[in-house]
Amino acid sequence: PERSPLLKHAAFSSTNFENIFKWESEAETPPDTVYEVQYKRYGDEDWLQKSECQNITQPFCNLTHETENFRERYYARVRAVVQNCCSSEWVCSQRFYPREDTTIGKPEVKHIPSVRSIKFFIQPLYTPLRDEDGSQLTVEDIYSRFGTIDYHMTLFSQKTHQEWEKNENNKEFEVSDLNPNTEYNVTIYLKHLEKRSQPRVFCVRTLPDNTWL
Amino acid sequence: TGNKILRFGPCMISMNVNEIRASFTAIKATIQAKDAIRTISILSYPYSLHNFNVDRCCIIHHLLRFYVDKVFKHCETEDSHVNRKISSIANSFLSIKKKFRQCNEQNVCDCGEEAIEKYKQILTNYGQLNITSAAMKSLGELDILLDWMEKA
Repeated sequence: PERSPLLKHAAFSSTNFENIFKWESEAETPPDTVYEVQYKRYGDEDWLQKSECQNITQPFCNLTHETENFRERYYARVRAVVQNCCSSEWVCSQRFYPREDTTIGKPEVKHIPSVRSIKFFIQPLYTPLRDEDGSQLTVEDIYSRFGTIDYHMTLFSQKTHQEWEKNENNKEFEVSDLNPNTEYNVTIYLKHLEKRSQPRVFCVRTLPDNTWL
Repeated sequence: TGNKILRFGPCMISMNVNEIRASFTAIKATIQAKDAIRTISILSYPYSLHNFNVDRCCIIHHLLRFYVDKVFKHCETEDSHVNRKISSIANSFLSIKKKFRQCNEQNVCDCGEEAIEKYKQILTNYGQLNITSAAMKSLGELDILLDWMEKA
């Protein structure tokens, strides 16, 4: 007889406060299997249905707005239902705390090279969340409420093996005293207390020095 | 040394919160997984500690004692690594508690009605469970306390 598939690894996957609840099911899942998702705030009595994630076939559900209070803790759970047969046990996530558990994505960085310097402009990292007045919140908006935010940069020249390391709390900064027409490997990430963003890694070349031509 | 000075009303206490947080982070998943009761919270919703900002000195004084007397000693697990982390956190709390006593002798930690009510609520939440479950749940919520302690 048919039996309900086993679900596993039900967990939140979160980047910049976009919180996606994901799970996996074992290999031999009957083709007409669908999933039901519920969520709750930790400490709340009842589980709530996520209406858009009832009888779905994909193995994930966007719970961003249901978990938007980044100061609170949440749980989500999923079960599989096989039509005209049976349903699996609920499989629950770990306790999810958006403020701590979200991954901060790579910062977007614009740069303007000159002959002996490079200017860097770090772009805001937007989240799906909005402030009371409806404006879109950035990662910096959220974390600056809890402590300082720094941008850590390393700049490395393959040619001269020189390395610069800079900690900036400004989103615009310049590195000077560089060599003309030289390629530099740059790594920039955002730092907040013990938390770090993913690094943005790229190359940039300073302009040639044409003054002697 | 990673020590930071945190202010609780008239008391300014130096402590290494990052060290406590690192110990807790190392065991958080294990401890929280042992807490299967998701309808009750000690420090979180619906009586979230982070919404409470008066008489910090009184609240922290009571919560330090709460964790030392009612939580850590009831949190034995079958995992020696976890137990070591718990005792490391407990020792940190004991040293903070001692510093608090010194401050308390010089300053009066005001305990207004709101603060007393707040602490009673915490004890009520704790009392809804058997001691081991309540202690394990409280330990699993240590990050809530640490966040509140670090709030300026």
